[in-house]
Amino acid sequence: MICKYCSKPATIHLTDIVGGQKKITNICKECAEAKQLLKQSDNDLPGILQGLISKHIGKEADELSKLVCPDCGTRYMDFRAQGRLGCPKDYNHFKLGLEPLIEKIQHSKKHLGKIPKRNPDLSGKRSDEILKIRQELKKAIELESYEEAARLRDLLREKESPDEF
Amino acid sequence: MNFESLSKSSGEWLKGCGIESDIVISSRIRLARNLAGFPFPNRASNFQKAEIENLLKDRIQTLEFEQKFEYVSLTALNTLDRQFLVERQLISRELAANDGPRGVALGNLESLSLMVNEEDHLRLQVMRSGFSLESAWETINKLDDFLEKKVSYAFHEEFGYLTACPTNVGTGMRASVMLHLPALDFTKQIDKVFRALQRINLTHRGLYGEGSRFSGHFFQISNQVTLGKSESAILNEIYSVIPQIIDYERQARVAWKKDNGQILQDRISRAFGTLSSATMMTSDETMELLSYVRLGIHMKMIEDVDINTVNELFIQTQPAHLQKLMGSTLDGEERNTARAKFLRSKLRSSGSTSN
Repeated sequence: MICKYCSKPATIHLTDIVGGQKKITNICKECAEAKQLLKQSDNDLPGILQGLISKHIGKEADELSKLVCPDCGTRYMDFRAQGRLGCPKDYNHFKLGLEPLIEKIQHSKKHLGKIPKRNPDLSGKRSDEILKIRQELKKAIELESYEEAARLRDLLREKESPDEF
Repeated sequence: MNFESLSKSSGEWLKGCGIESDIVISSRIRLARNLAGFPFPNRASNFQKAEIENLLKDRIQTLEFEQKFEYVSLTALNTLDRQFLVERQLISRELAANDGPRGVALGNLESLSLMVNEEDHLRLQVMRSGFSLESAWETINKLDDFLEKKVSYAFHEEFGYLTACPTNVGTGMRASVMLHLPALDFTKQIDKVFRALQRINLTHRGLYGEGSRFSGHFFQISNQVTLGKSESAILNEIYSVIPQIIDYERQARVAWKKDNGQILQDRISRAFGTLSSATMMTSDETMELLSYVRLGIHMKMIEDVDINTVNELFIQTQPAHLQKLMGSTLDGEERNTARAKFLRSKLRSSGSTSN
């Protein structure tokens, strides 16, 4: 099939129904563009980008919906529904979703205020340790090994009080 | 803690003294803090909340701070006592309504209160009469420094102090100034002020904080943003805008008196007349009328009424305070009768209006 206007190979076939009669126009891409026969949306770049973006966001939202904090068991979706996080570690586990949200409500994502002078738990390392000791303590009590429990209790006390480091 | 003796005074926030105290009732700063290694109160089991409470109670009571604290467990209080602490602004409505182990450590000067297991593990609050955020910050910052040596706060390099709700993350600081703005409210210019505040990220609330109604022409102005600015930058923003609002209110008062002096005088005189002779008064009507009497005193349109008496009445006529003062629990109608009687006895002894 060749183009109705320039005799180049036709790649676009427009179908019009005029007065109940089907009419097919074969046309090449260049002529179609020149005569603006194509609908705007068919080669609308922003539209295509939008499609890609929403596809991408969809994937991200899907990822977010699967996030669960291993420390406190809070799901990212719980937070979105209730507006409250479950534990300080959620800020790391949900960072993907939280960061843009924080930026939106706070117009910033960087703390510029006071910093604890003494042993701030910067990386959350200490709370990891505390959590681990507390779990061990629970286990020790269950197993009735009271000497070990006493040792862990003292250790916990030490870790919870930065003053005594 | 003896709530009965407390009920006879107005507490720090309605003392009515301090800088610009004819318009600025009080200044308040609160800091939200959480302990590393514990879930936030909304996610914590009662067992964990008890652990948090015990740990904080112990550290607070052994603090070598300039004030000593007395810890009051909310589970040990009845509804009336909880309501009493809410009315005095020593605890939030949320803490009163929550369940599980929780409480408040009260400083002996009644200007400091530390809530345990509210939305966050710890909420430090300091209150000052009049316009004095600077002195409030000095105190609360120092108290925070003392506590930080005793507990391990949840802190994040990027996000700062971590809180249960991301609207408090960063500094965890909410600084607020309570203003009495009857003229701006009456002349409907208050909405203009609110819109202007919104643009600079300041927000407004009613007398008892988030979600509370605007009562007695009292408004709290506070920062909305807690991240990305230092504490002093946030305080400075509030500092720079409050004098302008004070100025607007003063101008509105002058214009009101000039344009509608007779109507204003009538309103103030009627407010005083009703308060000192009615036999039944609701809490809402009392707030509204006391607000006009307060305005009348500051505008010298009413004589011989002691401003301290009026300031005290704002809090003493609240439901829980009234019942404490009467020494018995009263239902709604009994309260309205008791309130009217109390107002009459307090206001009749002195006071006449000028013309």
